[in-house]
Amino acid sequence: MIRFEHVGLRYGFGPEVLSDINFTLDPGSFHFLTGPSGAGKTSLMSLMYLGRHPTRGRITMYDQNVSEATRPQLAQMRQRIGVVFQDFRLLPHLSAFDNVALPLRIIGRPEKEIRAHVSELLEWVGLGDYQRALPPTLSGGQQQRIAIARAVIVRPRLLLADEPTGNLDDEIGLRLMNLFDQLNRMGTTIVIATHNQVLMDKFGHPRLLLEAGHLRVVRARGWIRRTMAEVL
Amino acid sequence: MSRAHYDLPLQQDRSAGFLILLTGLMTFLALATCAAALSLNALAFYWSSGLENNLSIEIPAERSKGGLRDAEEIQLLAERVDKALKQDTNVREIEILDQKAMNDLLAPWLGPQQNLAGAEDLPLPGLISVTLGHTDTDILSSLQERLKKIDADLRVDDHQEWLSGIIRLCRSLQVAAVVSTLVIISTTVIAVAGAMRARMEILRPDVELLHLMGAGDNYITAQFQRHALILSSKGAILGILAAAVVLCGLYFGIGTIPLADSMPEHGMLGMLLLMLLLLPLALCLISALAARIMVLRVLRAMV
Ligand SMILES: Nc1ncnc2c1ncn2[C@@H]1O[C@H](COP(=O)(O)OP(=O)(O)O)[C@@H](O)[C@H]1O
Ligand SMILES: [Mg+2]
Repeated sequence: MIRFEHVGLRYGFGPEVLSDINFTLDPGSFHFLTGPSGAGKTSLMSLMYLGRHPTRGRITMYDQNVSEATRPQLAQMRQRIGVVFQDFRLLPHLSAFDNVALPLRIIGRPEKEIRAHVSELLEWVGLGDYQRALPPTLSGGQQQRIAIARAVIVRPRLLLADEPTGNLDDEIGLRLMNLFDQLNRMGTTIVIATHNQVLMDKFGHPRLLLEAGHLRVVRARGWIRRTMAEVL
Repeated sequence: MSRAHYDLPLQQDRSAGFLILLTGLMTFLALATCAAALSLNALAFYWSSGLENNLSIEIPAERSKGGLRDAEEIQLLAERVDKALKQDTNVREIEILDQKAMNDLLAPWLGPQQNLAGAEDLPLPGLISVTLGHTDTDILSSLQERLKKIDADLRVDDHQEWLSGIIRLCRSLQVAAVVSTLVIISTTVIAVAGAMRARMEILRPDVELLHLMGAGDNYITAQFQRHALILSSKGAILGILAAAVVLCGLYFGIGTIPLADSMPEHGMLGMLLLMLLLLPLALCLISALAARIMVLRVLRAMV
């Protein structure tokens, strides 16, 4: 699904935020990405959702070298990636409904289908009564649920969520984790960046541990999965 | 995207009013300039068609060999010319300007008090105005030959020199009008493109988000393009209305539009109407295209 080989990233002329990252995510896998604040989780995510070029190394996605892909090919790859940004990045002038509908409009789905799917999903994340509300008028938790709904609406092949349970109380947090699990069972590859030890222990998926720009894979106890990266 | 939908808050644009006004003014200016160019064309055609079959024959009061011709002699020469020209089937009309007509012509310069008294002493030339059925250089030179046989002093003036000067002036004014129109259109296009660029910078985070979600360049560009098209269309309609009001005012109020009444058979009015539509249409399309190119350039710089 996605492979990093000797990937490094630096911002401008600063130090390398990520150094020599190597790992492979198999299709249908589920990983937690963890590590202290400032370790580079968000930066690694931005490489995975093709929001940045690495300063060195090679990223392969869907068996294609990303740095060799054409613009239309990159756009197509991005259409199959759902992202929940740490800061949500909702469009403030669009209603909750239109924010969630955006990925469907981008891939050109008919408006009738959009209306049905978006309403259903918003209902499901508990925002059925807020479809017409603008994001700035909603609470952080509500905004986060919109962001998650927007990321999963197209049933992406790869779902990246950056600290998605941070603003959610436990009950809704668990409910969303169940949503991710469901998607994972239908074939979506999932990476969730989180600090939440309770959550990681409860679900027991393998962890990608980032420390000072270096990555290693920690296999969860009782889970038999292939190693996804080199230990440095 | 089939329906008119914006993901980007392009309509919440405070500079939109300014842009519409600017496009409106520019459309008006472009239309006025083009109308002026067309009028000049009509005017040149009107003058040349009125004068090209007209020529005047002058009998100089002064003999080339020296000495003055008296009125009687001039009258005699005029009658001989008249007789010779009457045999020519191409000659439609001959008018000999007699002493009274000459005095009338000269009155503005010599003053009305001058009257006939003493005027007879003035060495006035004889003038014969001739209208031909049609004219070309052969006809003119053969006519000149025949007149030379009557008297070597007779001069033929076919107004060509004056006319070609006027027509040259019209042509250069028209070139100036075309250049001005081009300048006006480019100014508008540059303003629209600049406004779109500024808009793009403000909305950059939103544009980047769409880009990250896999929106193609066309998806994003189309929204800016449509926005530019809508703004410039509004401006163009404003400009057309203003131009129409002014032109109608000139036509009905002062009645000095030379094109409409002098040249109906040349479809001047039709051409004016066509231009009234085509020019703003071109302006709108070029504006939208400029917005597209501008936005594409910014998008291409994104990863
Ligand atoms: N856009 C940026 N420009 C410059 N430095 C950045 C940028 N984003 C992150 N960094 C730096 O990269 C490092 C990793 O940050 P980040 O990826 O956000 O870590 P995490 O998500 O694990 O907290 C930090 O030192 C941060 O200051
Ligand atoms: Mg982060």
